[in-house]
Amino acid sequence: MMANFAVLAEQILSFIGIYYIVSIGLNLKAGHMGIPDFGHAMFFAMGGIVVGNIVAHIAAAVAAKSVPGVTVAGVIASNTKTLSIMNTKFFPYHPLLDIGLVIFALVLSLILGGILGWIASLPALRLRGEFLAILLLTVAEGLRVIFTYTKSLMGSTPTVGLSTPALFSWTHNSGLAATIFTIIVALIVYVYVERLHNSPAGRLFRAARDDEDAAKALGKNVVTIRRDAMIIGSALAGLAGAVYALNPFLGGGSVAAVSIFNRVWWTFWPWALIILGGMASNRGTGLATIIVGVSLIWPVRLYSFKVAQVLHASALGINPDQFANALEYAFIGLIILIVQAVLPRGIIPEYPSRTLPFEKYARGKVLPPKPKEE
Amino acid sequence: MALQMTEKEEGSASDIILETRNIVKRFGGVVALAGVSIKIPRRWIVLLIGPNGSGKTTLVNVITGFLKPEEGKVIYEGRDITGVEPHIITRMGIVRTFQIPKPFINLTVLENLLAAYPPGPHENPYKAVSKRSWVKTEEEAVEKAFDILKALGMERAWDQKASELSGAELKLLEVGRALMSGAKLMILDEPAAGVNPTKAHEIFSVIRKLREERGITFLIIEHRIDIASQYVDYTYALHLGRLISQGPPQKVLNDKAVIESYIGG
Ligand SMILES: Nc1ncnc2c1ncn2[C@@H]1O[C@H](COP(=O)(O)OP(=O)(O)OP(=O)(O)O)[C@@H](O)[C@H]1O
Ligand SMILES: [Mg+2]
Repeated sequence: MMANFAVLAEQILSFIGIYYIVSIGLNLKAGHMGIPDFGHAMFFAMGGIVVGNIVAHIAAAVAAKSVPGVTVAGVIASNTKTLSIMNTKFFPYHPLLDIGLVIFALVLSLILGGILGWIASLPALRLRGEFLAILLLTVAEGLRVIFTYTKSLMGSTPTVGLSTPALFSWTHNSGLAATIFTIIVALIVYVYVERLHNSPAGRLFRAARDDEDAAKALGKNVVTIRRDAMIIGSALAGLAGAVYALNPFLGGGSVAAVSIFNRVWWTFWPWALIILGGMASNRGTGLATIIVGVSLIWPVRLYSFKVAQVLHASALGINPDQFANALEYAFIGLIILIVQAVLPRGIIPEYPSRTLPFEKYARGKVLPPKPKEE
Repeated sequence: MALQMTEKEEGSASDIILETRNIVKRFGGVVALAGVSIKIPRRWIVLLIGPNGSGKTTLVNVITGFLKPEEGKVIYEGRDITGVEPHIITRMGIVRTFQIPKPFINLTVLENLLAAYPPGPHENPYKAVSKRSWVKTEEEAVEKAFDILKALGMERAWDQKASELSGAELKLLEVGRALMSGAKLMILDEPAAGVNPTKAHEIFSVIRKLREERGITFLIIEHRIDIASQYVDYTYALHLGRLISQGPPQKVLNDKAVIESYIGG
């Protein structure tokens, strides 16, 4: 019973952590910079591929020397078998290598997410509004299809995808370790985005979002500002993808194009969370992620299948997968509707970039000094 | 009659900071500018007047790179800057304000000014987490911002969001941002429109002070000629995209062609 409760808590925390990281990347682009990125999932997917494909290959190259049955080619050709050998006979016994691979995965997913973000920023510099939103959505869907059917990227069976290396197996409690890891990364990301927000650069994103012409007239290069927001926001999405793939509660030990490119999970939910939290509000996104993560995303993701069974959805000709998806769409729509009606600016509305303690300057400069008390 | 500065005027104005040569700008069938040539001597405060639709704002848009002219050239400090991108032109030292204010609407008054500080490495997002990369510049910016707010009488609104400001306050904010930019040439499109006369005089006093203390050059569009003319050195009058008069303010204001252009619309 205790153990069960611990696992539930770990699952919930993992969901909150991953959704904070992925949503805050979108918040930087859509909230702070005003870029309507409806292709956010494609940047997330980069992190999944780094772990499931690139890291697995590197690990196999090392393991092949000592572990029988492991070959580099086997990572794709006989993925399940190769990874299950490594996950039981190799990773648990090489903690240092595992830790190194985790760090490598995080760095590489940031870089690949950032590079894809940079490429996506090229149309984002010319197009605006709904044109850009549709373009990014379409590109992400196109990439999903390409990755799904490219064996060298996602393995031979599209729905199964690739098993992921168990890089926390050396701790003998992968779930707990991965949860702590996820939360730590999320906290670091929170500190990072808050520092960025409270800097001249963070303020400039918001300024250029509010009025491009005014920004130009003040000598600001709106093109590079938008590009930088695309790069950083997408890099954070890539990071989220890697964390997802490394955490067995989230990825379930594998990555497939259907999961890492999932637009409901990694584009629409993050949109709902940043709208609920308050666009351009890092704290609001945090609060929204905690509330919705506990009350909706986690239970829906894990239990919609059972609910579908209980409601005899299949008897009505609805398969449980579709049911789960429909449920998530419905909740996303519901949240956005409620926010529009009740909290148009979100739970914690956008707050100023506090670079310095402004009140101090104001007291010294603006307001007359307080009269001395007799 | 060719409109030109008299020799005496030219003599004291040998250092021309900005010049336009025969600017032509059309919008479809509308000829907004039909060959406009003006010269702005360094450290002068130059007024540009003309009835509604005479092409004043269009000329500003052409000078600052927001519009490309069909014909003609813009020469700034001896360099041809025609068609150069707006932000590059600003970095060369020309800043402009907008007739219809364009505030950073979700930012506070103070943030609006701080964002107007000249661009530089302190705005590099990849170094933003290291406070050391920006803190010194930012301290200077905050000092300057509060000084400007005080000069404009807006200091009490420093923490207010731009979306909460009145129309007159937004005009002041436009001027304030231009002052933050540290430009050599400031082009102000109706800085005192909708502002009460006392405030309008204050704005022009600040402008005079900046010219005296920092040698900034001003090109100012203003409909409130009665107030503006007390502060300026030279005036150009536009009508239907053509210059119809130029000279010291009193001379231009009494010019029959100018009076008629206003009466005739
Ligand atoms: N972007 C545009 N597209 C089409 N026509 C334009 C555009 N901008 C200006 N015009 C036209 O060009 C002419 C000059 O306009 P402009 O705004 O420069 O006048 P102005 O002197 O600034 O007038 P005001 O005193 O009302 O500000 C007008 O006939 C106007 O309708
Ligand atoms: Mg105008």
